[in-house]
Amino acid sequence: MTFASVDQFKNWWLKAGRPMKPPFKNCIHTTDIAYAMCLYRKDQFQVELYICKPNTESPVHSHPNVDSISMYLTGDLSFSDENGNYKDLSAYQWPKENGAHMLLGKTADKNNGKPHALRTGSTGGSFLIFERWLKDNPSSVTLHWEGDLVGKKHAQTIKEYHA
Amino acid sequence: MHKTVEQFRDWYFKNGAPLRPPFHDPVFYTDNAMSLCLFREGQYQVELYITEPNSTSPPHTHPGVDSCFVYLAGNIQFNLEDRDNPDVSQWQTEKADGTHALFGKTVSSPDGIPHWLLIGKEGGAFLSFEYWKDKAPVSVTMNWEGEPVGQVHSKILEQNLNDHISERAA
Repeated sequence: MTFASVDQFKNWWLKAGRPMKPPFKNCIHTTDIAYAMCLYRKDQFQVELYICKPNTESPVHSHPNVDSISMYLTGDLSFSDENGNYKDLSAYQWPKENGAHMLLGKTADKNNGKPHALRTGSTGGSFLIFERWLKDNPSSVTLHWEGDLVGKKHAQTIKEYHA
Repeated sequence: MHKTVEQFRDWYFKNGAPLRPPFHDPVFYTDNAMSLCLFREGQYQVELYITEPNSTSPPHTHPGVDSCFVYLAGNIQFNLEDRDNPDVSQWQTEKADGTHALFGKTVSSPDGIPHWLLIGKEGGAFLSFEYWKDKAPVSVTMNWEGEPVGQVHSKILEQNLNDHISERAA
């Protein structure tokens, strides 16, 4: 089982029934505003689940040499472009008939290591991020971060990883 | 419909672990943990908990809720009052498929029995399957009897209590 792109990996994972196989190593990472766990990792590919606290915002940052696709799960969150401009998603802050968020399963544009930021509203939010690591072995995009950090806890998490 | 939280757990896995986080009340946090409700239907729900490294929770209960935990990853010592709580450090090993030796193991936590967690340096992640007997499900971090985890948790519980008082007064 090999994938030529992060899109292929995402499509396979969803079609395969979203297999949950958290790795023993480097699975859980926390920052001041978000907690993450790796749900599945295979060679240079992985999918992480992020849970984000309400009313928070990350600085603009990038994950060099990581192709990624973020998939919306729930909550009030949005991603910005490299200039910090956010799409207005307020029109989609509604439940579907089955009680899920209108944006469940929607994906953001593929990111090829470009700068971006994330912010949440009053309910917090959660998303999946599908990743293809082009150079390094996968750990977490929380660790593989270029730009200002989120806060002290984020710095501590990175420090402990490299210790 | 399910008769017990264990039946709900088995149904959930048998049906491909549906990922359908609710629009309402999906995300909660305390001083050292965050939760996401992965699926909620009727009086049943499953929450994913991710906990910080080197953290603890004091003994507590979730009144009116039967729970069942499924281990995912990290270093989690789950303890139930008056039960045999084996030291899980002996199972901090990797299986041949790359997952944790305890991945998929389950512990039932019946309503009213105090339990508490000790988390190691790896952090922890687990699923909490819940049957809310007489209330609409939100998060067990909000339905908490016992000492709070910390100041953040304490403040959230206080706010929740104030909201309920306001709702009743209205």
